[in-house]
Amino acid sequence: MISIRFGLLMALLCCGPVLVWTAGQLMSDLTGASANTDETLRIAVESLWLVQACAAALMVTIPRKNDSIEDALGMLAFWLVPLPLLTLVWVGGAADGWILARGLVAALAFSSALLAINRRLGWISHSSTWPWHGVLSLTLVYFVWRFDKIWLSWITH
Amino acid sequence: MTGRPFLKILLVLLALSLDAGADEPEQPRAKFAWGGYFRNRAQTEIGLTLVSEEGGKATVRLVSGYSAPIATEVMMSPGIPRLVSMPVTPSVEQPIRISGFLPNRRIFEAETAASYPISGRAVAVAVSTEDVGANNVLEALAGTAAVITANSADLPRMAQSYQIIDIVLLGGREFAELDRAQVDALSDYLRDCGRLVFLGEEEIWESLRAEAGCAGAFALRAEHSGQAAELIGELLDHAQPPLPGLQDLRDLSSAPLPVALRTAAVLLFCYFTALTVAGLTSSRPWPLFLLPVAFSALAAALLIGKPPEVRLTGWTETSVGDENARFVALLRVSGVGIWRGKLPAPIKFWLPTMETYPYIQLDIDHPEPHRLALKTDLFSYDELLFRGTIRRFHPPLTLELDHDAVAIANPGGTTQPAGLLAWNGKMFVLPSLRPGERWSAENQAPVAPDSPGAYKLRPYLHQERMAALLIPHASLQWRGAEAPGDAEWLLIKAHL
Repeated sequence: MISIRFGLLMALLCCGPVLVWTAGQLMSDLTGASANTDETLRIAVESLWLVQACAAALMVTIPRKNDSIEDALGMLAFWLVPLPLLTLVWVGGAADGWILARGLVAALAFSSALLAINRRLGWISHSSTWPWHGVLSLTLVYFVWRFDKIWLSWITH
Repeated sequence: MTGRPFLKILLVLLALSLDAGADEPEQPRAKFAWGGYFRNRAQTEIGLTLVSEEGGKATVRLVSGYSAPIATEVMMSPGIPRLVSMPVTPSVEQPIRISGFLPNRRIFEAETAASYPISGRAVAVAVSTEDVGANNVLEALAGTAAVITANSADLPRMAQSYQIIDIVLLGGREFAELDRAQVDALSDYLRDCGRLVFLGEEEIWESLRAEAGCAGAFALRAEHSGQAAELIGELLDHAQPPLPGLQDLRDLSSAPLPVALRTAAVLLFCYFTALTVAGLTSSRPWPLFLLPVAFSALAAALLIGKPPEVRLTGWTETSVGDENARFVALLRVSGVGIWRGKLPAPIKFWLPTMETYPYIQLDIDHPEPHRLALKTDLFSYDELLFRGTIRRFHPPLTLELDHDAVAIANPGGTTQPAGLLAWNGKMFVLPSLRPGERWSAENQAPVAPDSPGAYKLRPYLHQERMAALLIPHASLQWRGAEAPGDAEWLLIKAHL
């Protein structure tokens, strides 16, 4: 349960700011003569994925000592938390259902790879894995942040 | 064998005749209203004259500076010119692009621009040939207003095109030259309290004055051109009574935020609360996985297939003794899908901005149904602001002076709802009146009203001998079953 709770906590931390920003944008849209919320919702989803991808990369910093199934469930919880928000985006017509499904699959694949790398690092060095994890984590965050337009376009186009 | 040269000649002649047809000039002639004078980003109109050797359907598409592309289809008779008036919003920066095809499928494309931008000062239009001495007016109004001259053919065929000018000086001879559409547009302008000085015969003037709104305060007749210049100066000093603007109508509207948005907000709040509670208290993992899926399914079930919502907030104004009324209405469409409906009868053409609508289809040949198709998404909405006039408007209540107090009667056959009355610096609550019932403000206690429309009565509170009555009243007649529910108000003013 520790991994699942941790995944849930991280997801709530990621979703919170994005939701507050989205709500603010939607409310300011509503004061105009025409509210076209598609763009706002699209940006919200892309921002959420970017923040979650960075958070997932940062989580590599933490060496895993739990059961691998529990870790996988924690990762699943992390990515499943924004599902109702994605559903609203899909129902609102701001994004295609396939794009959202593709994003979810890509996120799960990315997290699975990170989880596998995390465990592999643990096997390489049993004494102190923190430096390895830290370097890998920062590198990943840099690449996720730097090339966000590219990997987001793979999902959304 | 003798037939072969003859056949060749026949083929050559046929080819020549086809070629001659190809060179035939069939480009539409374009002419702007007001002789090409325009205000940047304000609506005016363009008249396109189409000629085709074949009868059938012609299509015209028009893209102007700051408005959505407009397309229309018109039926053409062979060889007979067809005038099509279309609304445009010219800009100084961008030309107007005209394209389309004639019944013989021949394509035409052209670019044009209105010639004379006007800005700043009030604009008086002298529609004249000989009767109206434009030079006299020009001299008399020097420094007060910019005077432009126009022919009767330059007058618009859509009432909205009058918004670029401040006053019209019209001669009787020029009025007689106007076609039906121009007379209708001029009448609509007059009903909307448009300023007019008429220099012509008494008989024509009577018919024009009957159309004038605001009890005829802004339509005057001059005996000669010198007096016309004086009257123009006088009228330009008087501001026309303003109708509520977009924000006023929003304030009057009882429409809440789109239901879908509220539903989504409540769902998300409940979801995150449930998730936090489950995360903190649950000792098993399954609730944490079940909650996202359950709330997603709930969101889809609640929001998919919601039909578009349409709401109308209307404000109509008339005066006792005035046969016409002016209105402004805000139509708000929200929700998912396409709403198709017919607009209320007085609403004619309009021109939304490009940001709101990507494409508009006008039915020039059948403007009566005023059909409208609006497409919005779930969390989006669009607002359209209409303005117009109602001819031969009969207020449901009458106002008169009785022993120095206002008396209000309901001569109709239906019960009228409660309203508000401003009279002599005080505000009164008018109770609901049954058919034939009469109410007097005498000995009634004034109130400090807090209804949404009360603030609109404040300008009339301290006007001498002026009574203003505000009641909920559906003045705009919606046809069909698509009448939206919201607020419609009627303001009746009376000088007693």
